[in-house]
Amino acid sequence: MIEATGLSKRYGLKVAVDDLSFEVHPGRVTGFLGPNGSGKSTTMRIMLQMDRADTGRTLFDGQRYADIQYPTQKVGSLLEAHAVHPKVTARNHLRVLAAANRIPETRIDDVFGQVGLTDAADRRTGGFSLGMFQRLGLATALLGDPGTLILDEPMNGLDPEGIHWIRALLKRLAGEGRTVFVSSHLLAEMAETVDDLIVIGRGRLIAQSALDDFIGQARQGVRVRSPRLEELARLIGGLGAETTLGADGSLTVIGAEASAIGDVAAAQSIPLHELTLVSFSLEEAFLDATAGSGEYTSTGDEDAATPTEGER
Amino acid sequence: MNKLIRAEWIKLRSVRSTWLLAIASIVLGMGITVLATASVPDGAPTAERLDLLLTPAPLFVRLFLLALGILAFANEYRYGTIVPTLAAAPIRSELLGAKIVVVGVFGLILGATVTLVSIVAGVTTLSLVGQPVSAFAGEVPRAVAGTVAFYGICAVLGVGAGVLVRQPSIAIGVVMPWALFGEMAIGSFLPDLASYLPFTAGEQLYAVTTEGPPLDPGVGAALFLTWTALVILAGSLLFQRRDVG
Repeated sequence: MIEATGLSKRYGLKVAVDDLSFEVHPGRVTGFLGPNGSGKSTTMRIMLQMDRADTGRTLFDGQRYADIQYPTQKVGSLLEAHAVHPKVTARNHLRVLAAANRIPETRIDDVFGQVGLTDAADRRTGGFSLGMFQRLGLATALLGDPGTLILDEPMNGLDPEGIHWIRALLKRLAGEGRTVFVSSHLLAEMAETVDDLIVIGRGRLIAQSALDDFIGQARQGVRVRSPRLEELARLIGGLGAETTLGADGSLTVIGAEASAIGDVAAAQSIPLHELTLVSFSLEEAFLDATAGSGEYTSTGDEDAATPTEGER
Repeated sequence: MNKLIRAEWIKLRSVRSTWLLAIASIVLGMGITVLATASVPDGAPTAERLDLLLTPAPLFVRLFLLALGILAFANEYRYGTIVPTLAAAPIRSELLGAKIVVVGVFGLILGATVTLVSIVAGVTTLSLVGQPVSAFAGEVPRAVAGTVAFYGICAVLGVGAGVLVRQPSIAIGVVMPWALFGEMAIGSFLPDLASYLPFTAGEQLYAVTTEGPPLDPGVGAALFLTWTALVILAGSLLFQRRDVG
């Protein structure tokens, strides 16, 4: 159980995290979502007391991170996958971290097995691929067999097989009763994995809910095609619904039931070529919720609303 | 704290630079001492022979001890390992303390090795050129112990510089020239001030010249330790306050 209360952090004039409060519950995978630059990494560093919060605190089962006697046995974290000396072997990297928290060295081979790095355990990390760094980072997080996991963008740099693997891993860890808190700027890669969502934008909480509720809150619409589309659009507008003409010649209606649209069309003998209920995808719901809250949100091209600029 | 000392010791010995610096220290210390003692002028007084035996090696070998300390901290920032390190050791004063203990003790052991090898090589060279000295005469044992202490303090001072500056290249780029000739340059203008500067004061730990050393060895050691403590304190205050990200 993680309880974050009133977290705030500013760098000079820039507010990175703004009065952010949320809870993360055991036995569930909680996705921490937001566009790049929305403050996810800063929040995670504040939670682990690596960065000083201006206000607020985070409790892990009632304790602040620095007050936990052997913190990595309670809270495992992956904040930066590349955080390894390139001339040191993966095994020695973990030996240091195991010793620092009185974790038995036998755990090292266990976690290498868990993340599929057994063959590379005694190699220097300088030649590792991004995916191998992510696996080593996960091994680091799992080393103390912690009840809570904090993972910052663990899917970055993984190939599809790796992403599939990590999804299963996260679900299994939550299934074992652990608290799993995992950030991502791409909702699509999280949609199949998370149970709960915490969505932030510009450092502020936008939504905190179970995944199903989040989708449920997303707006539903009706897609209509007709040879007399403009006339139909006018009539539907008269129902108080919002209409958007798509590039593909279809009309998306929000705020009117499909039956009502059908009735209107029938009353005026307007032929309908399509009348389809559309629910916006999770990604669209996410973009809708975080619209305008990304640091790098482009103007003009709506398709580019998911920025690719790297988060530092 | 014991657990962190153990972790820092594994860390220190598992990076290659530690051993490269250790080997370089021993080879350089021995080489410089042999060169210096081999060039002793005929009929040099004992004090001059001892000076050539004891002082050239620490002038240069100090750089490696300083580098050892600097890298022990600054490389954590360079490679980002400070993040997992702090995840395992969130109480920063404990982490800094563990690094000081490990690097300091390693510096003393390495310093003792360098000094032993250098003295043996130097005494042998002096015998070969026909101007022998006794390694147990007069102030020599005190100067030998002082050299070892000097090396240990240099390593700890390096840790302080590393935590203060964080970037290894900048820390090394500032500390090394200072330690090698910065104080000497100041000394040529302001000799009175220079004897209170860290390395000049620290050199009194192993100085054997009797021509009126600026400071008593004990006072020099105390000054050198004070400077080191100040650097550590400044680094520690910043380390407590600074964000990692």
